[in-house]
Amino acid sequence: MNQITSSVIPSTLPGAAAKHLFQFHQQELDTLFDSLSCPADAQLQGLFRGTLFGISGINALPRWLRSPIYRLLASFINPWKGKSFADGEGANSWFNSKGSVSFGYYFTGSGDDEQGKPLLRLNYLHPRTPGLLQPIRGEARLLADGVWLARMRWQGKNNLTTLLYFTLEPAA
Amino acid sequence: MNSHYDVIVIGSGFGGSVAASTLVNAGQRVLLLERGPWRDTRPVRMAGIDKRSPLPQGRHFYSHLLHRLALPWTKGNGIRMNRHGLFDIHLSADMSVICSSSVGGGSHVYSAMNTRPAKSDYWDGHSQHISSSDMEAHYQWMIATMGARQPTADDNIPNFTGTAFRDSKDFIADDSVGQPAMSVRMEGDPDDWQNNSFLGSQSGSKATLDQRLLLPAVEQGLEIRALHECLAIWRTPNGYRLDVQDHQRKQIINLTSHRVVLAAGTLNTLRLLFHSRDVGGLKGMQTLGLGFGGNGDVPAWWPLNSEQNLSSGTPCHGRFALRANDSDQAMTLPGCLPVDLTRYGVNGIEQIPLPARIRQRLQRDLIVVGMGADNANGVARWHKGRLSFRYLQESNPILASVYAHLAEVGRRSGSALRFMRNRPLTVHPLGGARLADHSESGVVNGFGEVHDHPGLFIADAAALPAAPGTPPSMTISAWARHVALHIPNATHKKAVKARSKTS
Repeated sequence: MNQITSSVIPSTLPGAAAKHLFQFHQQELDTLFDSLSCPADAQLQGLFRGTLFGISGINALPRWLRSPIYRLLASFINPWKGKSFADGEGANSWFNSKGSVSFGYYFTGSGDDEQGKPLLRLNYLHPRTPGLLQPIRGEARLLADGVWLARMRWQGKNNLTTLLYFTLEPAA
Repeated sequence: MNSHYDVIVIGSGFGGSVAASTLVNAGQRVLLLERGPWRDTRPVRMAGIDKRSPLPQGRHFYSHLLHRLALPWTKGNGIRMNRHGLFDIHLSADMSVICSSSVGGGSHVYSAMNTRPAKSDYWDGHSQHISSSDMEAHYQWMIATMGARQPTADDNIPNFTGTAFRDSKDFIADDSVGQPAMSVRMEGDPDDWQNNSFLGSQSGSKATLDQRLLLPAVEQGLEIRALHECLAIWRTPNGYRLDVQDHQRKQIINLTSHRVVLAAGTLNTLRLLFHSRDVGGLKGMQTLGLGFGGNGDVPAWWPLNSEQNLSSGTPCHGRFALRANDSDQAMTLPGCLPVDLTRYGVNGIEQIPLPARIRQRLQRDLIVVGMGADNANGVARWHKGRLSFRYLQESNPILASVYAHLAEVGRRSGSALRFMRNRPLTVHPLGGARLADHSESGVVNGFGEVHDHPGLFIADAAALPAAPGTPPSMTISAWARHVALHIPNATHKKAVKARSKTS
């Protein structure tokens, strides 16, 4: 008799958290982000694989339409691969996930949101970042063990607009 | 943690309803999430629930029959047909599964049979915290709650097997076979014998969980959110966060609680656990998916073409067995394992819009369900967001025994039964998140708490340690009661422990 004994390998699939969040509307992502926490001494180090979604404008599309777009953006076709962090600074990684091509530098540090809840800040006001991109403010909180939910916001004269969301997971 | 609920219960079937009701009675603040709607039945109407969805009867039959259809090539939960639909059909190569979606879960469509497992020591030997003798009190509580009793010939129930097979030379359905306790009104009203089975009981003649447990619990403070489907569970430093799809408002909300009871039905519980692990919300559970089975279910069509209308009666006409040669003894075929045979009419056929000729023909036929404890040694697998099963018939010899008994029923009656011999189909999926004292052997401990995930409990058939071999609703209820009774104690003990640490 054939006895089935093969087990299922427990693992967190790379990008699976982001794919789960593809179905969230912008407001739902905002609510989710607000509900998350950030460890007091949070500090990111090393290379992180990024998955984009929650892009302002695209997220207004119906779910059946925006989901394939995000899946496409999660594939090799997207030149943005993630972020790298080292000693309170970091940069976006392009074209490969090894961090050899970097563009868009930022400082990192802990901070608070408007309600005083802690988060990790990514401040693009960095000398190596072109002036056009310097109004970008990144914010990140821990979504799950090892997975960060982050968003990019644009600091206007009077307001702060959320541009997009992404997840960051340690690159294998 | 900003939740004002002590516990969130996911699912309102036999596991979820019993757990929620028990917790509310223990003074806990409980929120129950159910992906299906309230059903438009007399008890629910009388309770003043406004938003109700019809059962798939009459003109609603075709529109409200299916909730979801999962085919081997469809991703995720499959294709949603109608969020107010009743049945989920999950077609898989090794085993197909039918389950339902409503406040009250499977109690709307079950056969109202309240039975204990085939083996009296079913609960023994799986965990130090559970035993068959302890569980007996929970079985008795559930029978009393559902108002179930064994039907007898004196009840004059149409098509009752005890009466129908009284003079049969081929079959036996007397006290030696043992009729199950049934939770159906048996006061002699002819209307109670109609339209009370697989398509639900609009009149409330069949006792359902919304009627018996949930509505009374609502009066005691239980909050129920129908059409709310949990998409993922995330462990947080203080408990759990749930991503929940509100199908009414069409938005995703986040709920948090220190404790979560997962009772979404075996398939949905497994989906939720697998998906939550995939996305990083939950960790570990190395034996998740193992120990899956179908309780040896084999449904068969018995094309008797009788002169009588066989469709009315209780949802299940009752148990029967093969009669040993000219004796008053039931028999098991040589070389076969014991098999549980039950007989059903196509009750509710009057409510299906069909040409009169077809309907009349179906009224004269029967359904037989053969069942027996399989080895529950299949594997539920999760690949690219889809649940599938690996289940080998040859390692579950009970199926061959059921096939042999069904064939013998056909031979003796002169009307061959039709069933799918190599395509197992079950309405009683179980296992996959089994109970065991250690995480190497199971997913939950003897109190239903997921190993290494304090505060996360599984209270449905996914946690069952083996196949009961009989309809499992009572066994699931008993398990859920056992789990729920422990939760306030565990909470109290942990609080005392935390306080003593602080001081």
